[in-house]
Amino acid sequence: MQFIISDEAGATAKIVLVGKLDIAGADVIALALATLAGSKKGLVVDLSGVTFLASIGVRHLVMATKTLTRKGGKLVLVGPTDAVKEVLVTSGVTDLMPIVATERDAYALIG
Amino acid sequence: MARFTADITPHPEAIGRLADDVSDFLRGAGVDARAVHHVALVIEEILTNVATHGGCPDLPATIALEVRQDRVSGEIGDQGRSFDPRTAPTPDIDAPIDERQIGGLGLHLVKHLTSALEYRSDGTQNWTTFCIPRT
Repeated sequence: MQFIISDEAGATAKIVLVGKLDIAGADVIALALATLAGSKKGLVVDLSGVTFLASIGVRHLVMATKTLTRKGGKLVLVGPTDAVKEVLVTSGVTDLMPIVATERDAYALIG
Repeated sequence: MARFTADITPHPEAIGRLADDVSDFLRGAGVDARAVHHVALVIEEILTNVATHGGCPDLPATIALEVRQDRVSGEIGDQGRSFDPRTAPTPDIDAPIDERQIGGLGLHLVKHLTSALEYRSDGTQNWTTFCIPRT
């Protein structure tokens, strides 16, 4: 799992995740995701490069969403593959964090 | 009937590598991409559970898979604490964000993705068996 963070200066940040978001991958992103959720109002999470999502990855996304929601913020997911989307839907988290097709849609939603 | 077996010490990196090996094997055996993903996910979730809640993450676990015409059947043997995944509480996946629990999702996925899920303990080993339909 690798990640790239951009737009760090604004109220909304973007984090691009690439690779497997499994038990090992979740360890890699945990601190960055929690830090962004704590310091930003909006978070765009680009999942298009994520090839595998396990429940531990979903947990980290839910925790970040909880942190953002508490201060009126939002987390939006961009471009998951069908396999990753199925895990999100089965986990029942798509009503907590919207899924959109493009980064532009995500920024529009966060406002 | 294609068969896969492996021994693993359920550490995070090893679980990830095993999920990759399982996926390669199943693709090679002609299993569809969706079922490949489901099998890899179920194995990952059960082994993650053994690693985090089993109490002895350094004891090896065994995995055996068989590819059948309409399904992939699997068996995981581990030496962790006795635990029947079928009795795990179901998380409320409709709760609002404030009340949303973050635990229990892994076994929720396992129950959802398997067409059969069985558990027995022989006193020293836990045996979790499952079937995942091919599509």
